[in-house]
Amino acid sequence: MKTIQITVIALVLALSTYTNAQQDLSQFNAVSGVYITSYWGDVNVKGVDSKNEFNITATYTNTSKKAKTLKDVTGYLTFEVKNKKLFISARAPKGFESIDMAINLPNHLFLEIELIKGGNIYASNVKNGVEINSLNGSVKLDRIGKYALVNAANGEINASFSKLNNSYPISLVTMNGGVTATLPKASQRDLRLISRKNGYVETDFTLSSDKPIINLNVKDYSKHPIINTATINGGGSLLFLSTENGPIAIKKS
Amino acid sequence: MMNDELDKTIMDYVDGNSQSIDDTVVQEHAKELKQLVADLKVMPHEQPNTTTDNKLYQFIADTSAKPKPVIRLKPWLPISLAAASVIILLIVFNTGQSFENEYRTLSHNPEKLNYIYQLNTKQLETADIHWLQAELQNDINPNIKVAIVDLLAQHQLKLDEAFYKSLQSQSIPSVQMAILNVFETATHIDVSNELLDFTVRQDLDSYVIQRATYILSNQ
Repeated sequence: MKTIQITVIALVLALSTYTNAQQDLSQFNAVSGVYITSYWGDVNVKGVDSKNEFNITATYTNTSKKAKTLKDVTGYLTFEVKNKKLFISARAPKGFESIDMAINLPNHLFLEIELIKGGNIYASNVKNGVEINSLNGSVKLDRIGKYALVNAANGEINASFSKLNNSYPISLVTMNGGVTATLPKASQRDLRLISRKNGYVETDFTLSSDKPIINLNVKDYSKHPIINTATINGGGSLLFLSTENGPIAIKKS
Repeated sequence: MMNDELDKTIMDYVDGNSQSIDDTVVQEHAKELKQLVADLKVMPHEQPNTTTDNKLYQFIADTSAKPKPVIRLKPWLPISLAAASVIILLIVFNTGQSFENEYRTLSHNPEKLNYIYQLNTKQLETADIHWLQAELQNDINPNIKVAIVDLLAQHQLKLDEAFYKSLQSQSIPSVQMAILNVFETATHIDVSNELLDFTVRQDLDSYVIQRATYILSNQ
């Protein structure tokens, strides 16, 4: 019985610590978008329906790889509003330190993330478009609305979309890694496919292409570049998928 | 003597230009004319057709009975006409609008990317190529840059040194790699100096430097 009580108290304390570590950002509710710049560290953004649930939790890992959740982000992160845009910027790293960010933001806000050094990016349920530029690490997007422009250097991109704006483009470009786009089944897109090396194309959609697509739905890494223009469901706005090294997948949600 | 000559002789006499008419032929013709004039004087006057009269009277009666149509302009019509004129003028004057000027009016990355992609279906002149080469330096978004390189790669023979020199100023690996792919297929221009300059940079991703070195070794 004592063990259970101690565990419950420990959980409550842990939850309390976590809650206290959240930095409230609801005073920035009037902004139109959030622009995050970080160097090392993961960025995890969750879009929420409530306009009041707007906060950030930051975890700092020092050069000795010792991690702590920051109760006060002063000195680690800065917040600045310019032209109705909220800029959240991590400090320039002193050595190999990193800051992981977990952000809940109202999902009607536009989201831009720039990860200058490395880390994984995960964003879900953001309804008003995302633009991401990352150097090292994977990018995973889930239930993104309107549009996405994602550029990665070393890392795969996996993005699923809901409620796309059909007049907006999608561009997922990585230098090294696979690219996966999951779209609503009725999506109409003009498709530009580039896989320079070790590629194949996997899709649930029927692609109408200008020329035969090498290794279409054949999981065999091609030694030749796969470069095609095609359409999905008769064509529409641009879906640009490009990797220098890796396969491409276009799936139905 | 012809009738015309007879008439002239008679008219000269009537006008006092001739004192007498001796010619019997003329005299006979004058008698005929006199009789013709006498006949014309006693001819009954031509009366209008009564059917036509009735139709005319009926038309006048109908016209008087109907209210006169009034031309009333809708209040929005002049504004619409003015707006249409302005639009037509804009279309006329914008016919010569360059792709560059149109692109300059765009402020959001998605619409810029759409615009660049749509240029794949347009005829690009040398000036357009030069602008796109410059835009590769100016534009900030890497996805737009990669799309520009993809577009320019299809006009490789029109690319000049500026394009190949732009590699040196690029900092994003995926953009560097996209440009390097165009280097690999460059046959009309010697790009080995640009590649050499690039490969000495210390900030390159290992995958990029590997690719640049490979292309350089195959030049």
